Amino acid sequence: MDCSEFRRLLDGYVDGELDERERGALEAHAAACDGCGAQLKAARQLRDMLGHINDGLSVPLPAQAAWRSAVRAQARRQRMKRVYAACGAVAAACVLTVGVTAMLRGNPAVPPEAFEGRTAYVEADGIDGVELPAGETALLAADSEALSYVDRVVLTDDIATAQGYLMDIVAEYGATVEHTAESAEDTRVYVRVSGENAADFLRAVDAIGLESDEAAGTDGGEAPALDESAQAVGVCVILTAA
Amino acid sequence: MNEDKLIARAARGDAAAFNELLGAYEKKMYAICLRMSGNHEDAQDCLQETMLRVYRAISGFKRQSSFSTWLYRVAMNTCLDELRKKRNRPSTSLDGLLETGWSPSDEFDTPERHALERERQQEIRRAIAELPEDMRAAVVLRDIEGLPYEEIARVLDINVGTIKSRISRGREKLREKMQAKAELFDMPDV
Repeated sequence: MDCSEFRRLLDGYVDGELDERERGALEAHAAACDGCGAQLKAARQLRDMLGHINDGLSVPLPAQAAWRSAVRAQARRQRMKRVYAACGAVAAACVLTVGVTAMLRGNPAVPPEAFEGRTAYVEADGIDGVELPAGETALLAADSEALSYVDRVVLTDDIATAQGYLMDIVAEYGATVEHTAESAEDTRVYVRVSGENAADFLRAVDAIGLESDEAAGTDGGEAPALDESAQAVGVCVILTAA
Repeated sequence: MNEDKLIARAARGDAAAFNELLGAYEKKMYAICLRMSGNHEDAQDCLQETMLRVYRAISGFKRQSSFSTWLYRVAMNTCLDELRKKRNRPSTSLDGLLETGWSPSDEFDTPERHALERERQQEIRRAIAELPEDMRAAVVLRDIEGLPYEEIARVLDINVGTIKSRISRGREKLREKMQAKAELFDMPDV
């Protein structure tokens, strides 16, 4: 064995991968060569020291406490998000109930005749410009001819959390949730936002999920475009599992 | 409770199950953080960040590797990220830590150990901390944690050939440091 062969086999020796013949040849070379002998001694000593370097090591108590405390805080935040999302859904359901009841009772602020002839996005058949029957999907068109409407599909791995974020955004941009519809496939949240805030609102919505996109028109045509000059914009946010 | 059940409960957000599960790996994770960062203060931060990352990601653990391999990967990635961040901040030298009261021997509850041995250990720990990060990661996993080459390749997401090369070069650098202190390590000057 020469020095270059010794260097080639040294790691295998340290790892215990050499057969008896190779090991014997390497040790014989090291015994005859000062330089390689020193290398072998250092390699053995290093292996032994590294193998025991953590002997007696214990995790300091502050380090033990710090990560457990951080995990508990993270768990609390996640629980609050879920509670917040659930509260948002309940609040939206209350708004819907109050709204429908008001319509049926002839609420003077939103008289039933106000719905006649208005254009709106109707979830049931997805056709724009239909005359609205009284019904929950008509709420977006309740009081304004100037209402424009767009939709967004938000792909998320956690619909409840995404809905919680959406409620934050609704509050931030002074929007209101008009209706929420949950199905096995998705959760649809109908929001009214001022035309002035609509673009910013949509940008915030687009940042909620893993991916976001304009929904295709439900009649199979182009997705409705945002009309920022509208007095109010109805947004249907479709939260769906990625 | 067995590990699979704890993993399932932790994946559903059960913090108590998570703490029990990770409590069993705490020392190994801390040792990696300590050997990669070179000091207790950074190791504590690194351990905390590792555990938080594991907590956030455990629901996505797909069992394509063993749980311990996955943990090693998260811990090592966290250490490397923290070291990268630290490169952009003023560094704290080992000497600085020593001056402010930290001593490598603090981690050993073996006061009877010979002073020479302690000095050698300190020298080795210093030499590990001075290795380039890629070599340090490979040497820590192989020579300190005792992982096989194939598992190290999975942890670091690098092929086995590269791992062998990094370990070989890392060991060589450590041996050079030892030979530079030939008297301490009782070696002939060659």
